[in-house]
Amino acid sequence: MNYPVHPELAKETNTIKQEFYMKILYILLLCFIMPINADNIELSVSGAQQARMPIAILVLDETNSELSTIANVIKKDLEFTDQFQSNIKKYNPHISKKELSKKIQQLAHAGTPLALCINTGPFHTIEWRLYDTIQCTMLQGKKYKKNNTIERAWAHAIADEVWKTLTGNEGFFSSRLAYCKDSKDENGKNIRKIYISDFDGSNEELLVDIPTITIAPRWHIKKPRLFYSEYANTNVQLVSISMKKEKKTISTFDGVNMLASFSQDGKTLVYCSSRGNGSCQLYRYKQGELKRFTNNTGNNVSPVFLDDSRICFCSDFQTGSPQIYIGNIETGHLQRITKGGYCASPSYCPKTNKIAYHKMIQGIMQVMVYDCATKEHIQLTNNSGNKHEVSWSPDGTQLLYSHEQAKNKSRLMTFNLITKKTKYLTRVQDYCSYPHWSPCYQMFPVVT
Amino acid sequence: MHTFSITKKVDYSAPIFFMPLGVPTAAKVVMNQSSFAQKQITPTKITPTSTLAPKTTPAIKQPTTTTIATNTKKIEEKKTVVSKTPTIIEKKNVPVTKQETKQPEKKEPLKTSSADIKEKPKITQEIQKEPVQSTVHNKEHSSCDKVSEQLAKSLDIQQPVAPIQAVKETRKTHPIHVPENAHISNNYREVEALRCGTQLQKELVHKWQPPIGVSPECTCEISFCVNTKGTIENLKMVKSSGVVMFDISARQALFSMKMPQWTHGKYLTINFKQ
Repeated sequence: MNYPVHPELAKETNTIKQEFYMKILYILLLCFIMPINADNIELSVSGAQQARMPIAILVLDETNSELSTIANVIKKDLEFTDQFQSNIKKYNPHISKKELSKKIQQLAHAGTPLALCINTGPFHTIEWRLYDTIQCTMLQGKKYKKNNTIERAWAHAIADEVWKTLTGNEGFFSSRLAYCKDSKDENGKNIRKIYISDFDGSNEELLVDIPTITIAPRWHIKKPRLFYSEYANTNVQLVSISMKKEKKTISTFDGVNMLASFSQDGKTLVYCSSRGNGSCQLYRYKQGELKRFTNNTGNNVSPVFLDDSRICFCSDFQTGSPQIYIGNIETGHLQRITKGGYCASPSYCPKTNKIAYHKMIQGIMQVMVYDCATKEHIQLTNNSGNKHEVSWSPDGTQLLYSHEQAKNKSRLMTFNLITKKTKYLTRVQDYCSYPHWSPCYQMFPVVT
Repeated sequence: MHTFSITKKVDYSAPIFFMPLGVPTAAKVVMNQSSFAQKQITPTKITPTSTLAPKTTPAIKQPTTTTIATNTKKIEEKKTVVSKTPTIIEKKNVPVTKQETKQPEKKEPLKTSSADIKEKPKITQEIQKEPVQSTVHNKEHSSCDKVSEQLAKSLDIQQPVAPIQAVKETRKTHPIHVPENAHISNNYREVEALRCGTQLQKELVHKWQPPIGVSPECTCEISFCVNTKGTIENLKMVKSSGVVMFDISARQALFSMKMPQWTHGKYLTINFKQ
């Protein structure tokens, strides 16, 4: 028998029921939400030991010598930076995709997080793919059509692409070095010739072979062309040469003509010339017009473009000993950045906005770096032996200079700014000087 | 289900201390000292001496002296003090009752006996309470003096009893040294959570090897789920560092490490910084 319920009592019971159900719902929600809610742990993992990144280079054709050469060059390129540790593995060209993915997964378990697969394709092509072995996904891949038979050019190009994918920075493996090496002619007379090589000093090639002294090679900023000075009968001429050994005389004024430098767009040239006056001045050549930039009684040498309106150079007009200056082309304003000592051979890196030069410290020429942003000078080297003609790598992580170990011994050396390690690039018995590091050109500047 | 969440930035290299509520560091040191002092107090045997012979004390008072001697070490010292001035005590003799007259005949030696204690339980109980407090600190010698006064009154001895010396602590107590950067919490769960985080961080530091040449400002955030077997699943790059090899090195560290038990069945987000 259903008894009538007072309406107010009914309302009250309803509210109580609602509250009860809400509580149960709340508890249930808590039970579900709490386990689903992500636990955020912010860990500052400091003090972790940095190490080289392992990478496996997989050659998908064990019988192909060309691929083997390319793999070896890539391995050498990556290990030059001291940031990678690579090993080469060769597989059958008919390996299936499943088997290949298994191999890649095995690499992940072995502690190798990266794998670079290279193989040849139809119609004279080379293909490479960079894999993340942990997730078994492809990070980057490209296919090239061969246009010459030099394998190392392909290898350097692949290494540049892999470097850019992994680090986010442009590579420098396709760049080249130009330098002078002393030798003796048939009469026993000392002559100096210009050589070029790969960025690590390998594959040396003679570029300028004339029976005279050639010095101060400088790369063009846009195209693979070298500007150097050669001793003539009455003067020192500024000459340019292509990779096909096609020469062209640039400046043949009386006296000394040398040390050419180009603006970022490649359209403006600045170099130093004495014109028989006894002091070197800087001259700017743009759109067929030659203008004098400096006008003092000192020697002004080694000009370098900082940007379209500023030039950094070395001059001794103020103190009698060479100092580093920054001059504005339009206003003519000069700013001295070094204070005292003997400072010479400035080299500018647009990537890092820094100027490298060498300075006499306690009787020894050491390498210095000036930060244009912070205006701070840092000494990089402090060991024995004079260092000359410092030059930046295209990515701004390496410095190249000649290290004079003894009176008749001068070797090319690189300084890695990241790892602080140095490496000799030339042999002990060769006297090498005036090094200059080229940019990375779009085409591969190889000598034919 | 145990939930673990740390959202604030924590320096896991700092030590972690659990401090119960209402217990500051200094007070805890004092408490430790007192507890040690209490433990070190041991009842010593009291040998009978002739100094507390009935000559100096009335017969009634002898049992009281004996009972006192059996309970505490202080009584030995009291005896020696009392014996030095027997004459004063004789002058100030309390009128002897019948019981008192009978007692000197016994001339009982001052030996510890449970029977003696039982005869006058009141006095023994009073005495038992106070010495426990007074042996802890030298500050509480006033209580000893009170006891001695009570004893003197009961024994009709007005000679002040020598204060009881505190028991020498054979064990040295070192104060708790809490470093400045230490995490102190009174929440046991929070402490456990911090310790779990420290364990995970140590493991990660051991396994993770960031690549050379990467900017120190690089950071990446990775979220993942750990299943019941301890393997990582559903790994996602929440925030990339912009440098592929940095992200890859962080992922490699996660896959190479053995996830601790408390992470099983949980979602985690870890921020990698250099």
